[in-house]
Amino acid sequence: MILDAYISLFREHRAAFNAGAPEWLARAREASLQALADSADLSELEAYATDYGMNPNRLQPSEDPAKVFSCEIPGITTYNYLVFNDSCYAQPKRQLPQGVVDCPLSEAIAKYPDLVARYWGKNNTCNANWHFNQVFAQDGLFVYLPKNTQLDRPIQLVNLMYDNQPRMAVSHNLIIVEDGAKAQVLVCDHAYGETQYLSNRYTEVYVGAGAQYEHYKLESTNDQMTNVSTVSLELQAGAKVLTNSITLHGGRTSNDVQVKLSGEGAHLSINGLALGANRQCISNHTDIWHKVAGATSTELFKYILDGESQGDFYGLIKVDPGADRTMALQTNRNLCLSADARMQSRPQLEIYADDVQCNHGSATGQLDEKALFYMQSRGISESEARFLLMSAFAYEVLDNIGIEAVKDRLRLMIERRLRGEKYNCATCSMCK
Amino acid sequence: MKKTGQKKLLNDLSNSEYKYGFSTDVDTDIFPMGLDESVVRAISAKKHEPQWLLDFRLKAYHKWLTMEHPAWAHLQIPEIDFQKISYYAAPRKKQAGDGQQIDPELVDTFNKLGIPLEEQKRLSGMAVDAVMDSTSVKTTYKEELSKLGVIFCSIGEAVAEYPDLVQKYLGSVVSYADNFYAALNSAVFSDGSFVYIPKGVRCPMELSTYFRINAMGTGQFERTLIVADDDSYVSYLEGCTAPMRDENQLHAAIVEIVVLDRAEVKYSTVQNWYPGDKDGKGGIYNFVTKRALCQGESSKVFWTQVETGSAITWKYPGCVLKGDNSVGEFYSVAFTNNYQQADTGTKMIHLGKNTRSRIVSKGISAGKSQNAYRGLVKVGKNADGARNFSQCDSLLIGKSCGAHTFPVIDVQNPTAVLEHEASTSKINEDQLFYCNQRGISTEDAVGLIVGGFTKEVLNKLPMEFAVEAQKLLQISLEGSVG
Repeated sequence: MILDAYISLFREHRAAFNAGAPEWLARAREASLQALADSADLSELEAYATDYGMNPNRLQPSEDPAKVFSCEIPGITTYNYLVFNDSCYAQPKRQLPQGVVDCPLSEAIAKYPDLVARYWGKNNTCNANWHFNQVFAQDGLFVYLPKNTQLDRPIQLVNLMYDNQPRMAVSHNLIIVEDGAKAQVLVCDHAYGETQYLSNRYTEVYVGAGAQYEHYKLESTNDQMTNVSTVSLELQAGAKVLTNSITLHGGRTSNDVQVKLSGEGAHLSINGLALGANRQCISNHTDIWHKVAGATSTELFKYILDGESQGDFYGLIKVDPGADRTMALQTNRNLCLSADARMQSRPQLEIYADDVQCNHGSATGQLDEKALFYMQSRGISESEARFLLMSAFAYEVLDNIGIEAVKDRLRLMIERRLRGEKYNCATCSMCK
Repeated sequence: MKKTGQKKLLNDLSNSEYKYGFSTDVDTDIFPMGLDESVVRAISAKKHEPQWLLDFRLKAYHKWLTMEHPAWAHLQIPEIDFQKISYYAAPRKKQAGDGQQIDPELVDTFNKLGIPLEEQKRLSGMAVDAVMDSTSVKTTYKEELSKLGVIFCSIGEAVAEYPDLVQKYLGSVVSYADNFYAALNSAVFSDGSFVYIPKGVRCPMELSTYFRINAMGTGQFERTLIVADDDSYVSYLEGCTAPMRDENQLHAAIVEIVVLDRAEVKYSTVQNWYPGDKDGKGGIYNFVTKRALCQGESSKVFWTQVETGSAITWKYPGCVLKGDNSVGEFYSVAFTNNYQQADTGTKMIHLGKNTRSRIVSKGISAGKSQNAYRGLVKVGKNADGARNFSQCDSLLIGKSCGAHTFPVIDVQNPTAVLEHEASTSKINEDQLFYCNQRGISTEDAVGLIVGGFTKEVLNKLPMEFAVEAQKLLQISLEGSVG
């Protein structure tokens, strides 16, 4: 079994992997290693079945990462960070408000050991992806916003896969937004080259009381990419969080968003859009846990599937005993365009409190024949009518994106995609 | 005021809980506890079964040995010792010579249950097959039905008299290897009903089977097989009760329905097995596999179920919509109180073109109970134009109960249209307030609101059953308000 190979790889290179790691992290890694070795549920680890290369000795890339890729969404100004395979590079010149920390995780572990230790793994998912990540992740992005601070522009994290041989990248991001602070994070996943890639990216986010946080994740990679991404969020009282996962192009995508609503009055808006073509597999797994009274959540996930693509949506809403006045709304809408596309939807409610209002709706189908007919009777061609209906369907998910430049760019990319044109990410150097 | 009213209700409740909880002192022919190959052979020998049926049982038994107890349901099932159950119990006839005469104790029992078993009750106009423990006791109206060619008898009789029909259809919808309890049932099933409606016949009366577990330490493993030939129609009712006992008893049944071209089958269940006492002691484990195969074109199946009993319910009546234009519908009310657990729902598997299905599920949880809806709607590659609508609503009464919804929607055809909606909430305060200010007590108001909540499903039941179901819900609701 390939997992054993990874476990023995870690054992062989233990010193290299643990270089610079504090004792608590080395111990946590051993525990996770044991959990992986004992893991009976191998289906969770199915994605790891191919043999990929890893980089335990932290060899530097032969090219300058900054030159390989630059995001050229018109009009966007961000604090830019690049995770090149598994190493994090920050934009050299940047001025952040007093007290805000942003640096590669490896640096944060050395410089702010207490801060990292206080939050690390506090809200982990305890599944195979978490354990795998904890064992192998060496780097990632670390962001800390002290109380009541606010950034003037979004943080943009670009995860880039770039190699000429099969490659696995494991990275770990830790984002701490203290009480009353405000931040927007934009994560863009890209892959360059023709080889097989696997990434396991784990992002932990802690949102303090009254803080506001927005998390956007865009994926535009390639057919050879297996992208396993987990975002775990914990919200304190009155926190407001918005997440949006947009999957445009990829091989196998697994987006897992785990949210704990731990404070009264916390509000979560969780959204996603997936456009599947060819043999893409796109899975969105969301887990919303209402732990206390008076928290609210709304959820909207939409899929448009073409070719032989497969979509999978799993959305669990769990309401603990005593979590009264919970309001949770979940919607999943899917369009299947081709005979070979397949959609599986599992909206789940698990409710242990009585004073709640929880609804979910899931619908799978095709474009409304009546609407198509109406448009054609008004002189709009069938293909144009189809395009208009599909784009309207998709744009609903984009409406709440708070970064205008990203929203405009996404509209354009989706439009191109729905018209069957080339739709790779913008004008970046990779696609030129 | 309100408080005292509630208290009174709670006091009443301890007496009115479960009115079918008596047990009957009939002489019972019972197998010793335990299960091995010899028990399977003994059941088969007892019923003078042909070789093919024994082979079927043995195949199922050996499959069962290789299977594991399912753990995926949202249920806490205490470990069941399958060697501590007796797999065959039959009421013994008192006068051996008088073949057709039924033990008067038994007639009494069924009279208490309100089952029109005796011929003088023919006016009630319903053909009944009554199954006590492992065997079918008596089937009424046989002669009238046989004039039309309708076969309605116990499955044991059917094996003897219509072996070709039984052999052709038995296990054709639910394979012996379908699941753990289906395999167990296929190995040890003892009796149940067999229905065959010939071509073009509309069955003039409702057919009904009444199941009763009476003996202690036994399990009931009945098997029902309904075959509706081309252009036929039948409405079938099933009811069940059991005595109040401290021990848990196992009920693992299989219902198979085969529906041929343009035929229509309505299957209604009011399930009222003993649910255990208010501390969760005792009660029936109801682990049932029910499935209909809409084999013919334009065939139709309607499942309606009212689930109020059983300590644990694990049941997913399903429809395989194989014929083009076939229709499957599922209406369910599941009520759980005290420590009851229910994980119930349906499967709609669309295979044929233009197949349609509809699911309406209403769950009500009270006390410390857990009530889950679990459903699968699957549209196969060739099911062009398939259409499904599902609606699952849950009502929570009380702080410590749980209501869960676990639907799975799997679509492999782009022309399919599927919709699923679910909601969970407690009884609307505004509605309660409105009723209160019109002078309706809180208890009655809750009854009214629950009645309204479940009406869509209860309306689908045949008249007599609808009345019974309504009463049952009222009784089950008592004391759960507060």
